[in-house]
Amino acid sequence: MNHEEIKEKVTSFLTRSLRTKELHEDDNILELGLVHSLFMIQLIMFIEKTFHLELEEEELDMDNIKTVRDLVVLIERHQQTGAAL
Amino acid sequence: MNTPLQTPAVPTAEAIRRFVDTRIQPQAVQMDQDQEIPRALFTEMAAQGLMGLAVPAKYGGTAADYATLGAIHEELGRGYASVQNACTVFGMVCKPLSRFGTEAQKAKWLPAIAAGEVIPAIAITEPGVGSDIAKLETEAVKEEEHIILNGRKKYITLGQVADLFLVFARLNGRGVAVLVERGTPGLRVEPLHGLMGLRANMLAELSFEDCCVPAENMVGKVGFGFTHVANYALDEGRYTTACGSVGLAQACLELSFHYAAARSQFGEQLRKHQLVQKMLSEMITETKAARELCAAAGRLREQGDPAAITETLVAKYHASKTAVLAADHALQIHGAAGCLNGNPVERCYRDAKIMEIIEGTSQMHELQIARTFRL
Ligand SMILES: Cc1cc2nc3c(=O)[nH]c(=O)nc-3n(C[C@H](O)[C@H](O)[C@H](O)COP(=O)(O)OP(=O)(O)OC[C@H]3O[C@@H](n4cnc5c(N)ncnc54)[C@H](O)[C@@H]3O)c2cc1C
Repeated sequence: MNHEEIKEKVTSFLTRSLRTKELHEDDNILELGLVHSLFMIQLIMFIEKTFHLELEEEELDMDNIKTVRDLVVLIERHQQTGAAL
Repeated sequence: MNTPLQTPAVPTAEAIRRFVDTRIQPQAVQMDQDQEIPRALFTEMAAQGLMGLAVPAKYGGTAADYATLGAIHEELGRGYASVQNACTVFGMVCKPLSRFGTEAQKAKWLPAIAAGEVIPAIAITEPGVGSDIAKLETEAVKEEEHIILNGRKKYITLGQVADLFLVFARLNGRGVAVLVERGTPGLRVEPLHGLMGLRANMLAELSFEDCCVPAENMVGKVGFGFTHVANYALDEGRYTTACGSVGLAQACLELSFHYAAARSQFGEQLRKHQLVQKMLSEMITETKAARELCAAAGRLREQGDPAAITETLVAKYHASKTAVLAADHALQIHGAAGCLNGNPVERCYRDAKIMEIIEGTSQMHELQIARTFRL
């Protein structure tokens, strides 16, 4: 999956999960107050099923994944290292 | 524990249907009366692959896909709700352990659980804290290489017999999940008898008094206890409880069909009376609707769609209500015969109500569904 496809999937996931119409690459979902209590398990399910990879514990900290850009960088890093489920 | 790792085949719903008909349903009345699931049945269930449904094949599990998992839980729920709920608990421990556990935790526990050698339990609820799990009072303190637990847990399914507890607590105010083995000094287990329904759940109350476990027993990071581990467990539990509720409704329907054909009043079989037909039609429709909601949730779960979480809430909410409705109609159709202790309908009536309480009450589902829609 190339960069644009990943970004498109991540943006579409976040807007659906957080029920927001629009989300720019650097919008901080924590500061926007969008995150609900079930967000993290939606995120894990989305990443594992869509990209077939398992994030490390540290990476599942909300502080590290506040924007579309953060998530795309994370996913791309995993794809490069080939760490997959 | 040295369990040889085999990779058992994922059981099919058909195989479990036969197992339920021959091994679970015939013992249901006895289990309800004795308030226990015999250990031998756990062994048989493990041989069927039922204990490893949420365990990856790599750790000796059967890792069922969500459609299969749902169909299996429907069959189990049709057989006996307590057995179905026991399997839910296995999933609620194994799923988060597989996802957030360390390699050492997974290698030590998952194969033994899948093999039926270790019975797990999940301990969230406390005497003072039920639905509002973020307010848990059980306290964890980290001291060098140990975690020390103090507090109490209540209504813990399989607690009477469990070998391993996944315990939720608060460490410096942040949620943690910790594995505690039975027999750990400072852990006391007291049976809770006399439940109305799901009587064979073997509930227990746990108390932790300076209960000291190695720090490496923590599952996930400090702070992950509620947002990650408990939510992951509850989401899984809601799905299988929804499917089990469909099975319970289906059992009520089958018993009612049979009785309405066998019994006659006013010169006609009960099934020929229109007011009885109304009850049966409602049961048929609602059960089908609940099954479809479970299937929809299962499909989305399999795809990793974020909507899966809400669909699972919706499915559990509707399916547990359907179980209650179906049990109510079934009892009405059976009249006095259904009120007699030992009649399966009487047990289903008692069991169904509990489905609206476990893995989040109906009110909590209403609130969470509303929240995920940003209402
Ligand atoms: C058979 C059985 C097995 C169980 N197994 C386990 C287990 O294995 N592990 C475990 O940890 N727990 C277990 N439980 C406990 C179960 O999870 C809790 O009973 C459940 O979460 C509800 O908590 P509570 O009973 O304390 O009710 P409470 O939270 O005290 O709620 C009481 C009532 O008030 C309503 N209510 C609460 N807050 C609100 C609100 N904000 N708005 C509207 N209504 C509200 C609830 O919906 C409910 O109707 C089990 C319970 C049973 C009956």
